[in-house]
Amino acid sequence: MRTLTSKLLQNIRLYKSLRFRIFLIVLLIGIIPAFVMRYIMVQGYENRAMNQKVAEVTNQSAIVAAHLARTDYFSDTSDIVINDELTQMSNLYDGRILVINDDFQIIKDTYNKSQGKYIVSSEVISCMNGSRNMSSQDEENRYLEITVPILDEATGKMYGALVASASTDSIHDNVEVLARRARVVEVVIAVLIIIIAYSLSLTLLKPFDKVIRAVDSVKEGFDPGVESIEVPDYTETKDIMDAFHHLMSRMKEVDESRDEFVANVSHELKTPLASMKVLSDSLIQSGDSVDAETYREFMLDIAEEVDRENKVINNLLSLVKLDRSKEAEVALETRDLSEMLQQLIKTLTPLAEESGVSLFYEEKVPVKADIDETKLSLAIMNLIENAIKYNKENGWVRVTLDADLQFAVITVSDSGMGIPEDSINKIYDRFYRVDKSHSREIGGTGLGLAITRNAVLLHRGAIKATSILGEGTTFTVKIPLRKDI
Amino acid sequence: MRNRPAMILSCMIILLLIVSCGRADSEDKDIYKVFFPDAEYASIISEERRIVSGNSAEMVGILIEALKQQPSDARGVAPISEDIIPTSYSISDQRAVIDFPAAYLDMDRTKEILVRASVVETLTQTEDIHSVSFLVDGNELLDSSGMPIGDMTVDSFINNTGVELNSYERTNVTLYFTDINGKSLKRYDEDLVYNTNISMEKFALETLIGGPINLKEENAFPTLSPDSKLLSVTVKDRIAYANFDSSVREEPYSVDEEVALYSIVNTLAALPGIDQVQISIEGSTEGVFMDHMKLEVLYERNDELIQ
Repeated sequence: MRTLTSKLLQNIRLYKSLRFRIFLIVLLIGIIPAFVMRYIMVQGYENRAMNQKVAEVTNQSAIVAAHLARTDYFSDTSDIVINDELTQMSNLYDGRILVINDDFQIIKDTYNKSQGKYIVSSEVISCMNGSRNMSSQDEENRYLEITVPILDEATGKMYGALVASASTDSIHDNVEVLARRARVVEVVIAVLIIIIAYSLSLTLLKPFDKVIRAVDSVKEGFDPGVESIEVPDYTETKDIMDAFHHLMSRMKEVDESRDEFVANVSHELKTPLASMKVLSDSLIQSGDSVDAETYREFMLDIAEEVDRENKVINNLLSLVKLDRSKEAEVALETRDLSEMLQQLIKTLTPLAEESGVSLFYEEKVPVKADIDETKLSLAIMNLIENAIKYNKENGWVRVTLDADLQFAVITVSDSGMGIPEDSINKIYDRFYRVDKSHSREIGGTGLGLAITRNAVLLHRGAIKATSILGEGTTFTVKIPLRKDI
Repeated sequence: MRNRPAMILSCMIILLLIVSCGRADSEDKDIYKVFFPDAEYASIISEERRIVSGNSAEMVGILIEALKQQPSDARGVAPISEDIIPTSYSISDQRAVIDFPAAYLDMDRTKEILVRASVVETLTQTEDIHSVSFLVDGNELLDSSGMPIGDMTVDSFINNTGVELNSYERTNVTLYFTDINGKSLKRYDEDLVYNTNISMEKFALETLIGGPINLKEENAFPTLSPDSKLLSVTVKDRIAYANFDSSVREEPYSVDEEVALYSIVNTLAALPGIDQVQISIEGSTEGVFMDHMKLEVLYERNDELIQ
């Protein structure tokens, strides 16, 4: 039973193999025409030869019949010349000749067997009544049978009919020889085609074997570098390898970004710890000589660092949460976006005032959209916070709300320092900082934009940043109005 | 004992089979064919009737009645129409004589021959009637040249040209084969069935090439290669011209050239109307038959080789 199923599986595998199919297709395309050709040739020859023979015998019979009509053979059948003529024709066609008079009586049979009999066959009757030539073939006995009227064309008098039979042995022999030769040619063609089909099915698919080997070697851990595993034999194999290389480099990128992420996380977590260590060490080293005021100051700094650590961890957690949450888990509800934005402005105005930045809100149309309010407000808050933080003295931040038929559009523009062009694609990466030297004094975790982007994508929205260095940055967020769009 | 019902059942089945077979046999005896022309008077067709026979005179009466009726086959018409109903008929010595009214002569020739064929072929089926003769108004029926037609038997009519041309007949053919040594000929007179569309000469030579396999002779051996092909054989002025293909030169058996050649010549010369034989190979009479016997020579029957 097991062997049976495994055999079946093997057969299916064989049948599904492209190699087998190429073999089969070439085989069929080669052999079927050969078969058809043989059939048409042999059959065509047989029909043609048969028709020619019929025409020839009919013609000869008609000549003899016309001759008979001119003589008085019907009153005297002992005419030597005519009997000779009939015998000769009988010999020539290897068949019998019957002369029938208008009483339907056979008056001459070149084989002397049927003389005196009356012939009432349909061929003879319709020949005598309709003055038509009749012919029929006897495949089994290999004979043609021709019936022609014996008619005096001048007077229209019907004397009788002439029945001639002619052997078709020679035609059948020729057909046999022809068919035999055709079969030999056919077998030769078939063998050639099988060889060609087999070798084609082997060679045509060799590049694919190369592809499989290349992919297998990578699978087993060998990394030969992108260029060395090209298979340029076919466009298709080249495409497959290109796609494969693309996939590989993508995987490499993912790998690298993960490494970078781990390094960044470690660094970010380590920085507050290092500060705390320094603070606490200096307190310990100072021993009892530290006054209460200094203690307090140091302890406040330590608490600040703990807060900072806490914030980084919280942000990381919320990012992981956003990463993990699938669309179904996003609690989309219809909310008034302007209300949400106004609330955010109110919350952030103190921070703006503190930094000496003026914060505007501009609403072109009131918009309601299906959103997860917690996640989206976090995202927008991060954008506004960044705009305030990375601003210059007496700068401004403008938040606008607009909508078209499908999307709500929120923009956050600032008059800040801007983002260099080569960094604009990396700003959403976790822990990426445009200006690493200032990160410490500005604060922040380096995760804000990553969180924002994830939140926007969860809404099936889009985020885009445009920036001019030294003049300012504009973030545009588009959120679909309805979740089913 | 358990098989008793099965045995009884099988016995009953066998009995039934025997009974039904018997019935079939007796039915076959009563089946007669009624021949009639088709509606266009272009051929003869037939259908079967079951007639329980009485004596021969009664039988003829019943069959003539059947010929007057429209056949159940829609393609046909009754051979004896109302205006040619026989005035009388008589039977003597297995010969039926039927007297038709003068209207019989009014039919055109085709219709007349078909009616005549239908009547004769139908009546001669009975065992007691061998031939049929037609009278019109008491006088013998004449053909177009004024000759009396006379008695007609079932063999007088040919319904189908092909069947007649290819009918098989039994005939006696004289063939010459050799013995195991291949040095002499032996005469065999064989009763064989042959297709009458083949000339006797062709049939005899093809049988000779086929060898004595089909004959019930034990010591007869073939003289010619079985691959030989007779291309044609014709007779003119008492000379038979036999044309073989080149494979007749092959000699697979150890037979003398004279023996092989004279097996052809003697076989042909045994047929009526042939005195001399001209052998050709692929249509040519140049060269020799196998080794030294010249083809250009007209050969006559050779009795010296015959045992």
